[in-house]
Amino acid sequence: MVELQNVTKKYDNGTVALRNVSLKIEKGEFVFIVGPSGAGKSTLLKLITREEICNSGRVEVNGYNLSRLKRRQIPRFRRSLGMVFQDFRLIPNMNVYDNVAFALRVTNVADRDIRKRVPYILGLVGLASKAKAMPEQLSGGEQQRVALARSLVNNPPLLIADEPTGNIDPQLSLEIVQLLMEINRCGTTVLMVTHEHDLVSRFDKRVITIDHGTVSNDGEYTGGYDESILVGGGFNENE
Amino acid sequence: MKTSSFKYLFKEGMKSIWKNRVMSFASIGVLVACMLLIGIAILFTMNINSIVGYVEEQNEVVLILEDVDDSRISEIETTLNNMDNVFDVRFISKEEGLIDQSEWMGGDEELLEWLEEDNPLPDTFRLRVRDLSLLEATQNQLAALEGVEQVQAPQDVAQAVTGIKSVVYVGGIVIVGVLFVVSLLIIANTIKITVFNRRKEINIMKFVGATDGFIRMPFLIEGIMIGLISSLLSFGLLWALYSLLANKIMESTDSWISAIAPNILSFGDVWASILVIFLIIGVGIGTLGSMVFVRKHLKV
Repeated sequence: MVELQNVTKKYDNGTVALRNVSLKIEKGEFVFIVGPSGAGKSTLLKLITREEICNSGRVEVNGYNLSRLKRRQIPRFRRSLGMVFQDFRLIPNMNVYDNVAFALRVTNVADRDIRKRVPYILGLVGLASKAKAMPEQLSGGEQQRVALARSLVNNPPLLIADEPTGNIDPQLSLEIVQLLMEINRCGTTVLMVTHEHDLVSRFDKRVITIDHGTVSNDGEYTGGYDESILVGGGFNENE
Repeated sequence: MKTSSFKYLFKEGMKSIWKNRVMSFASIGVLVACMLLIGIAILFTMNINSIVGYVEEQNEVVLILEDVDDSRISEIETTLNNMDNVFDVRFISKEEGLIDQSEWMGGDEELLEWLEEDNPLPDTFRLRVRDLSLLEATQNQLAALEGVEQVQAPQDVAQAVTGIKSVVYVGGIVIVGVLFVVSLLIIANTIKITVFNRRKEINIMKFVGATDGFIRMPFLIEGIMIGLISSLLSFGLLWALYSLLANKIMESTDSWISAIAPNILSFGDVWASILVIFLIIGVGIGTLGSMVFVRKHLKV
């Protein structure tokens, strides 16, 4: 599903963000990616979503070799990904329904299908009654669920969540992660980047720890990693 | 692209015009101003051409013939009528010439009788030249005809007319060209601001897998619509302004103005070409501006 082989990413300013990273995520897995600020988590995600290209090594996602992907093939590739962000990225002047329908419209789905699919997905994330609400009228947790609905509406095989609980109350965070687990149980591979130690420890899932641009730990949550990983205490790590 | 997508994108483009209405209004305003100036330049050129054309048609070339027989005269007449740049060919025999001459001199019967006995005037052809810029070539052609003794042509008028025409023509093209570029920059600026205002939305579109074409389409529609609205508005304004001005000229009692007044074009004569030119310029600028500059600013 996602495979990195000896990947190195160096930015133009000389910073080496990732050094010889190799990892493999199989179909149907749920993986947490943790690590301190500046460790290279964001770069890792950018490589997986083809926002950036690695300098050496190989990145393959959903069967696409991203180093060889042509510009005009990027849209098709992105449609095979669902993405959720810390800051939700909803369009402020569109209501909940349109925000979700938007993801279908850009992929040329017929109106008839949009009218069927959007209410279904909104029901799945528990927001069927808020279809007409504007994003600003919703709580952070609800906004994130709208974003989640938007990322799922295309039925992507891989869902990438970049600190999805970063701006949400702890109880609501748990709900979001449970929702992601539910989605994972239905067969979608989920990749979640997070700072939240507590959250990771509650679930018995694979945890990949990134530190100083390398994978420092990959396996079950051990609870024993350095406190320095939690620098930032669950807040923004937007480089 | 499916029709439903196109409908959606069309709506998005229209919404964007309204959402950015201050900017849209500003660009429509400046575009209308530019197109009005373009229109004025075009109408000015057309009217100068019409007036100059009138002057041009008043030219008269006189062919003085040698003493040739009637069959040669009719041969020459056929040749003249077949020449492209020549029209209104009239044959004036030496007798007719004499009558003309004496009338011009005050109709002195005695002199006429005296001259009739030994008419010193030659047979002549009088004709007019369509395009004065080709006068010299035509004149040479005429002089080369057998039986033609001399060709008298208004060379100085021809030079003046040709000069005015080329100045007006080049000036018109320069003005229209400059205004076209200005208009293009205005549209580019509008698009740039719209792209900036919508960068968040565009970013999200890219994440959910929108193709470049899909992202650009609303901007294209916005550009075309602004161009279209501007064309129609400037057409209406130009119509009103021109009719007002033309009426003033027609009503004028000034002698030199009333001399050229019949050659002032009425808007009814030119509306179709003006409308077509405006639509091409407006929609062309809108399309070109949004295609080029969305690509530049969007980096999709």
